[in-house]
This record gives sequence, structure tokens and C-alpha cells, in this order.
Amino acid sequence: MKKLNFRYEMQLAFDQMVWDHHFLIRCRPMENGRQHGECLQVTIEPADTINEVQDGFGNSGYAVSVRDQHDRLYVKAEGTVYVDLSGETEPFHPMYGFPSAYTMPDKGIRRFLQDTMKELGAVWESGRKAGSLAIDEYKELEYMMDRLYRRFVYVPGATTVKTTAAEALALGQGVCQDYAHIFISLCRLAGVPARYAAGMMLGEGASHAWVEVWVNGMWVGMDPTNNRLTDETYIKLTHGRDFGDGAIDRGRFLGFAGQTQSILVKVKELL
Amino acid sequence: MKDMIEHMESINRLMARYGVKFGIYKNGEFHEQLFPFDPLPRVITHKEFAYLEKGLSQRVDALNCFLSDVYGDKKIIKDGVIPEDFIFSSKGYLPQCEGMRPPKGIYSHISGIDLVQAKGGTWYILEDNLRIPSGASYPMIARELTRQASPRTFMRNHVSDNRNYAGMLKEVMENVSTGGIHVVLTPGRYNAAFFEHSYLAERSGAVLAMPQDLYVEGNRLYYRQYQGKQQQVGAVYRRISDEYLDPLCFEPESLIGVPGLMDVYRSGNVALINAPGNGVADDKGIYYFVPHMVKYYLGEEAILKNAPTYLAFYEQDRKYILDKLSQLVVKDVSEAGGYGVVFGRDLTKDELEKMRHTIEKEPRRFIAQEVIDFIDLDIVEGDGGVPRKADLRAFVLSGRTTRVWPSGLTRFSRNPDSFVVNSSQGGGFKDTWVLSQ
Repeated sequence: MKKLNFRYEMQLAFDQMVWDHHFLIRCRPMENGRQHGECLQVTIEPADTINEVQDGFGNSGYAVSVRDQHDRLYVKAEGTVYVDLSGETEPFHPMYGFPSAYTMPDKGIRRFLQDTMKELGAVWESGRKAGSLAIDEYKELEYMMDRLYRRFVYVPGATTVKTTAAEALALGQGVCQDYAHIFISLCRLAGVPARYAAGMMLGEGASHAWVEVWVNGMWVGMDPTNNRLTDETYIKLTHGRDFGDGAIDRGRFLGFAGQTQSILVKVKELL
Repeated sequence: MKDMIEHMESINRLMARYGVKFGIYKNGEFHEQLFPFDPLPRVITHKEFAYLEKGLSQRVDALNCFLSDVYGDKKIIKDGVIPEDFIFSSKGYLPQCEGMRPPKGIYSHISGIDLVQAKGGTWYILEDNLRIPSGASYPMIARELTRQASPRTFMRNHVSDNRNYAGMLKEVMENVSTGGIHVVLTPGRYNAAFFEHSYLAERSGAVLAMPQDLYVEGNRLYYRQYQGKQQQVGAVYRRISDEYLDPLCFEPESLIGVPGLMDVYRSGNVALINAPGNGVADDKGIYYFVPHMVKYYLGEEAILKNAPTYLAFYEQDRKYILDKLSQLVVKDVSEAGGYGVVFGRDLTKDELEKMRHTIEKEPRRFIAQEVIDFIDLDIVEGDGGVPRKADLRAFVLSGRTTRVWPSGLTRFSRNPDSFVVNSSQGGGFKDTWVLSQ
């Protein structure tokens, strides 16, 4: 078990005034058998109303509304999180076995999986019954992650929040969201249920996205951006089928403004 | 009957003036067109209606059980009655609705069930519409106008009054209301069924609301009045598709949604009619399993039959489809409104081969059905009657009990060779008379 201290800061800056702004922010570490938060403090400004909400995936967050004109929205969350990967896994849901909007496979994704299989000399049937993997296939997933890592380049700005797994793979570059989407698409095509996870990792930087795969009756975190398994220094904020479900924030406002989002995450281990 | 035919023109003219229109999108442009009314009604006897009512109520009750199961315990999947592929890869399945319990556990309050009657007299279900079935207003207004034009017709024939639809609708809203006013939520003037939205709101005593008239505060939904007074909303008969209902939950770029609406709904503080997520039950692939649902949930045999249907997903069925393609009608499960329906007999040899290839490649996407030779109804053309294919959309309302509206929308194809009767494909409609004795 690890004890982590985190701070999540997010600012939206608009180049003109906006109003009637509705905003959903999920900046609180998820509570489950492997994660538990304490001393959480959340600041959201400006805000006319703040409502604690939950969704169908098990995510919770704050629904915020700002009626009057403003050109900035600031969110800060901080606290302590205990992460223990030996804790009980979250329940399975069959929806994670099927393609979703961002992870629809195309020819490129299929070819990538076929080539991986060839290199492994493995017979990896597509569309196998979810959750029925043997332990050695888990090693094959790691091989596939490594293969993706070696072929895909981390380039900020190459893709947008709307880029799908298929588009990103064709482009050959992107950010953590794209790595996650491609890997999810490949896993599901191979018959391994997988989901999108978003949150924070040790150090200082932006928020992060990775993948959880359902292997041997439990969720295992794999981080294709860093070509590693997740450990107790990862703090999960949300999960879902893909970015569409698991985005940390989403919102809608009135006004003709352009917006700039800046996120700063700090996580350090408390010994 | 003769004076009804004589009044056909004046009734159509009146309907045009009232704005009884149907909007369709063609090549990205919005066109509004009149929905032509034919004065010769479809007549259903008292006895036949009693049979239909029993079968339709049974079907809708089973579908409501199914929806509650899919977004809850998923027993029907665990028990192997329906393969999970058909649920979780359906576009209509919305995981955002997992774990939500709509007020009184009702998902489909207003169900539009499309049927046809085969030449032998047997009725077959063609499809279920459990999201936002439209069309009830057309026979309502047509009846109203024909009554004015020809009161004698209704004195001589014992026709069940269909003006109670608004009352039934009101009862459905009251039954699930969490306290407050009822609103009919319309995306606005440029929706295909805007006439219907305003008409039904007026008749059922609900307020016609545009998205900007509604807002969420303190986990409650409110209607903004022009005087600035706020009124709590207890039931929303929403005519906006699921994905645009709430930008914080579904399509984030929706401008017609009400931000936060789904949270209020999840908390049980407002009723949404129909429940979001119903698309999983009226999917053309799931249709195949509805008779199984009736048996599974109600322990009864389905009273009304499905048209004989084959699922390309099942290998045996697929073989049959590929073999008999030229005699079958193939439907793309992801399309609605008469789109994506192909009759094998209309295809050339090359097209058939192409279709076979597509089906083999994406079996989950297609179902195929035997072509039912359904009955023709006469429509007025020139000085005489000509036979045209017609179906029936029955409206089943689930309130305190499940009831079938003693009328319905009979749609016909204006093209003598066509079996596709959808209004979005340019058909017309008739009133449906249910005889009261």
C-alpha cells in the first residue's frame, strides 16, 4: 500500500466572456477496494451551484453551473489517497468487451493485431467469450503493448480530443488518450475486455490516461504510453468505455469564446 | 362514406392550414411536406381489437420487463436467452443509464408498435418503437375534422371515440410524475414532428417547452416562465433523442439538451417519458427475441407473432439468408424510418452478390425477413379507389395499467409497387376506426 498526496488544478480561460456555463468535473479519486481518499478539499470558482453527481459507470463528480458572465473557471482538488492493489477489484461489466465510439477497429487495427499474433506465433481468436483468458495470454498483452509503444510516437498536438483509435494508429502519433484508445481497441478485438482509465501519476505534469484489462477475473492497469503496468502510484479519477465516458471534465457554455485549458497535477509519495 | 370522400379536399386543406405537416431531411436540407390524408378509414372490428389489445399489451409489458432487466440484473443474458452481443453492441444500449430506476419502474410509457395484416388475416408485428414513436396526432386531428365535415358518418357507424388519447397521455404523465407541472419538450420548430408536439401539449394540458425554457437547480428541474417565476417540473414528455438530452451526460456538444437533466432523473426527481436507453429494446436485432422475452418474463406464449425473421448472426440463419436472399427483405439494424430496408427481389445479380458479401462481413448488422404479402387498403385516387399497401401503428400506453389506444395510425404507400409505408418515405395516412360493438 502507498500513501500519496495529490493536487489537481485545472483552469479554463476564455478569450471573451461566456455565460450560462454548465460544467462537470470529476477531480475526486475514485473510491473502491483499491483506492481510498482522505482529507479531500475541493475549490471551484466561480460557481452558482455545485451538485455532487454520479454516472452509470461508477464515476462521481461535481456538476457546476455559472449563470453570469465570466472568462475563467478554476478548479482545485487536493488530499491524501491510499492505493492498495491487493484490494478487491471492481466488478466486471460486459460492455467493456465491445467496441465503442472511439475504439471501433478498422483495417489498420486489425492488421496490427494480426501482425502481433504472427510474431507471437499465437492463435488469438477474435471475439472470444469475455473474461476467459489464460495467464500466458496476459504476457501476450504485454508484448502487444510493447509493440505499440515502439511503433507509436508521443507527439502532443498531433491529435485532438475527437481522434479515434483507428485515426491515431494511422497517424502514428498522439498522446496518452490515443495510446489508450488504440490499446483498448486491440484488446477488445482480441477478445479481452478493456476500459479507459483517467487520472494522475507520480510526479508533476498533466493528467494521464491508461487502460484496464480484465484478466483472470480482475482489472489490471496497463499504461501503453509508458509501456508499463500501473502500480500504486497511479490515482484513478474516472473510467469508462473510452474518453467519451471517462473524460475528467466536460462542459457547455453560451458565448463565442475560444478556450484554453491548463491542467497541473502534482502527486508525491508520503513515506 | 360518400360525403367523406367529397370532403377529402377540404379536410386536407384544413389540415394544411392547421400545420399538419411532416418534415423530412433530404440531402441535408429540411423540407416540410404535407402528410396526405385519405378519407377511407381502416376499420377494425370490436372483437379483433380486443385480440390486438391483449397481444400488444402483453408485448409491451414484456419489453418493459426487459428494459428493467438490461439496466439492472441482466438475468436474461445470464440465463442465455439473448446473446450479450445483441445488447452491448447495440447503439441503443446506453451504459449511462446503468443502475437508474425510472419512477414506478416504467421505461416505455408510449410505445408505437407497427403491425401488418397478412392476406390470410393474421397480424404480424413489424417493429417496436419505444423511443419517441410519433404519429398519434394525425388520426386525432383527422377524426376531428371528419367529424365536423360529416357528422352523419359517425352517427351511423359505431366508432370508438379516439379523442381520449390526450387523456390517456395525461394519465401516463400523472402516474409517474414526481410532483410539478408536465411539459412536452420539443427541440423546436424544425423538428419533423413539431406539429405533433404542440398539438399533444395543448390537448393533454402540458406546457410546450423548448430546451432553453428548462433548467436544473438544486437537483430539481424547473420551467422558466416569462414572468420570471419558476415552476417545478414533475414529468417531461420529451421529444428529443436520448443522445441530445443532456450535454453533461451524452453528446457533449448538444445545444438542445438541458444540462444536468440526467442527474435529476437519476436522483428520482423527475420522470422522463420515455426513459432514455430504450433503444436497446427496439433494435431490429432484439426484435427477433421479443417472443422469447414474453415467455421468459411473463411465462406466456406470445399472442402476436413476429414476421418470420432470421438473424445473420446465427450461422444456420445466415446460410438460409444467403441462400434465399432474392426472396427476403433485409434490414440494417442500425437504421430507422424505412431506411436501410432492401427487398432482395429488387436487386440485380451484382447487387445481390454485394449484399451477400456485406452480410458475411458484418452479420451482426443484418436481419432478414420473409416478405409478408400484407393486405391492400383502398385509397381514393381520381374518381375511384385503388389498392395500396398499408400498415398500422398501434399506440400502447403504460400508466397504472397498460392500454391500447382504440385507434392508430394507418400509413399507406402512395407508390403502387412499394411495401414501405413510412411517412419519411413520402406515404400518406388514414384514420383507424375501432368499432365499439
